[in-house]
Amino acid sequence: MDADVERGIVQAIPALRRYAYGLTGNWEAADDLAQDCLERAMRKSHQWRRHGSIKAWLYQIMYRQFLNRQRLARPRYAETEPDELAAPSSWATSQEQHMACDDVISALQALPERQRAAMFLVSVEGYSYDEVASMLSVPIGTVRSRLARARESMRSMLPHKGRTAQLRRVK
Amino acid sequence: MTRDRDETGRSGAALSRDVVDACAYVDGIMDNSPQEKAAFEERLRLNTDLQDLVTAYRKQNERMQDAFAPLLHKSVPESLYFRVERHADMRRVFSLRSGAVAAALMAICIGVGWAGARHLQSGNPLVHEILGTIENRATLAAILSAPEGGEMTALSVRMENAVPEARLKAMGLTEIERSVQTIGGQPALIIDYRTAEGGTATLMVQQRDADTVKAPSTFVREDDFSASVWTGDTIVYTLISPTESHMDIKALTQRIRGGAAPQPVPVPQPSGPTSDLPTMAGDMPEDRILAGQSDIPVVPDVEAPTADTPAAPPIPEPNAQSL
Repeated sequence: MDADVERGIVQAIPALRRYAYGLTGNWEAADDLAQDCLERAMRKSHQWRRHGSIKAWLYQIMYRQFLNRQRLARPRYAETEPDELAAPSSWATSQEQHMACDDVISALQALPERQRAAMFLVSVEGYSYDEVASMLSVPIGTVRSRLARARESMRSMLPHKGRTAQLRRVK
Repeated sequence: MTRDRDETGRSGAALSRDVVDACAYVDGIMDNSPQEKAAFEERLRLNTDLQDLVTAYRKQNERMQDAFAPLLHKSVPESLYFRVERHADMRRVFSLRSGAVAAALMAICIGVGWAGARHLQSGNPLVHEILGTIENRATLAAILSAPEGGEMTALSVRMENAVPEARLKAMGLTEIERSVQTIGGQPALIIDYRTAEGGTATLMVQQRDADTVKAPSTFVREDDFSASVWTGDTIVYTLISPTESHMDIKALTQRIRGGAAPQPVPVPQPSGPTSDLPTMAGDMPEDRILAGQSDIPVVPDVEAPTADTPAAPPIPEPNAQSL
């Protein structure tokens, strides 16, 4: 494996882990998934042909691994609850923000796996529909419909609030 | 498994054009099509509901980014970096010349051995023994070769009586790949086989403490998608068809039983097990399990394909060229 490929993979690890968390909603499962993804990526690194982003290639592997794991270990994942978000003070500056983040992540976890992946890749990672279609190995129309359904579901789950919740003065 | 059916267009509520267009607008997809964007903006100007939709979707994006952006800076376990470095080291070693190779190999072997030992640490020596020494073909054959005589014993495991290699070949199975993966925090041995039909089947061998807690007795589960055997020693064998065709497993198990069509769950005779194999029910009366009356919590079945929920499409190996 070339040093630059190795470097690319290493650099992608934090994002890969975050994607895993977005898919599983649980850090333990996310780390498992990330490990398997890295393992497979290293074994298949000869398939990497330097077209496009190495991160997108890793995401593609991870999504496939995730679906296979869902099938293999359904009972365990079915029991898994989204983590209590560890050390909220390290990444959310207030309890209110923490709760808002928690709501969003819970809502994401409530989506079907395929919608969840599409929603994460577009909304968080900012990939285009074409790129997401390639990563998920589905037609672009499928991405559109998954995303539309995901957004509608999330809209019903998440109350429409401002980016920062308004505090009401109480006399 | 929850499955959206957008590919087939048969999912519940129809998507409105406004929803799809609003998504495309918010996600910047219309930026590449000025005419489409202008037309949408004209609709947007006249339609307050559409304006609300766009505002809501924009807010969703903001909230998603607010929730996930900080996670990018969360500390990453060293083991993830170690995994990459270990592979890279191994590859480098094999590219070295003669003199250095032996010494480097020794170092790598020690490293891999250490990592492997750590990887397999799961609290029960039995799982180490099985994952370390199991003859996978024999195990698979044993799972599949149980004699006919009812659902209960059809998938029982008799490790000591593994069928000969020739019979495995006669089943048309060819090993593709094996690996140890961490699934649910536990090491699992994963072996992929190609079936005679050209599909694939995967055998997963894993210790599952959590399942054992919930299911103190052993049992067998089989559906169109997978066949699992829980044994008394907390090892679970799951034969599963992760790709191509879920029906591979059914075809496979049917063939092992002599091509018999799937039978309805039999009502067991009061005299006990229907074969000379030890019952998998342990101290749980067999009929209670078969009749679904066991107080063992039912393990949620993986969604089996039905007329309404078609089998999942194959998940192809990612092709780097396509990205």
